[in-house]
Amino acid sequence: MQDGRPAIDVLINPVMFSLQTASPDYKGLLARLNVPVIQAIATGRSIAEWEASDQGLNTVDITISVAQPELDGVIITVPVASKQCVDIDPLTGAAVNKYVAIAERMAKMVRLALNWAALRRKPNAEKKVAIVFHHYPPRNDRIGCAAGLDSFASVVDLLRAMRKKGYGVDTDYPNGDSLAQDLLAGMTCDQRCCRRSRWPLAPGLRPAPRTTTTGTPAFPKPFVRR
Amino acid sequence: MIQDWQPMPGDLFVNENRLFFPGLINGHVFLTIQPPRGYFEQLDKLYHDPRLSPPHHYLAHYRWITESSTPMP
Repeated sequence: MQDGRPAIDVLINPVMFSLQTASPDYKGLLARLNVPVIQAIATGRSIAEWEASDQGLNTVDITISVAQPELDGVIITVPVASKQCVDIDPLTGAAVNKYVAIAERMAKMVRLALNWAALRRKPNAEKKVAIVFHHYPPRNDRIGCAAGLDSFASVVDLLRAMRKKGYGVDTDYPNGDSLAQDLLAGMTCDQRCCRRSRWPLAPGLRPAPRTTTTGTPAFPKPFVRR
Repeated sequence: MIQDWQPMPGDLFVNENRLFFPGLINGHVFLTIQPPRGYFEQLDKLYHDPRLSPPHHYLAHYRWITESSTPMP
């Protein structure tokens, strides 16, 4: 911290377990820092075991490298290191283990960290957000399905709150139903009622030039119709 | 993916060799629907077979969201 402000834009945390359940002294520490905290997940398996496994992380890995850190509200990423036996100690015969980076996953985590850092500095008006409605089974009557939650009403509230915070939200829906009707008026992913004839290739449906200049669509619109 | 779903783009949500995605663009917000994991008729297989890859449409949907909104460092 410098003058009450964090000196960093993002923190990558390789420490397993949960900080705040380890000691009450750590409670609120990350919140005070107020930067995105990225969990660098390590597996206790060797890279060969990890690659050969359908599950990937084993139960212990998930407990101490995913579930416990999540209690601190950190951002979960991908496994970036594996435990490799690099030597046998000649005197004791003990295995000498080292954490070794999984290069491709490490690159992904770094990319995520840089993007989170960049997002922190970006004004809300320039941020782009995708909201994906859960859909199972994939039928129109199951879009946004959730037990005890009105997903459409929640998203309408969310959009309104985002607008107040300066995010680029054009349409303010009066209620959840109006948003649902708007979504259903276009193509959906219900294969029983969504025939190809419903996806007209309008002349305007050409990939828009990718640009960040204000006044152009935030997302290119090649395949979306209203 | 090619073994499971034929060469890109496959035949799910494809018209004239182009993939189609649902959704509304509301300013800087893209409101969309989670893409299905495959054919409606084979739901049990799609969601419970750990070795079945996602269809081209599924991956392309998330790639499009990522690449049209994220500057890659």
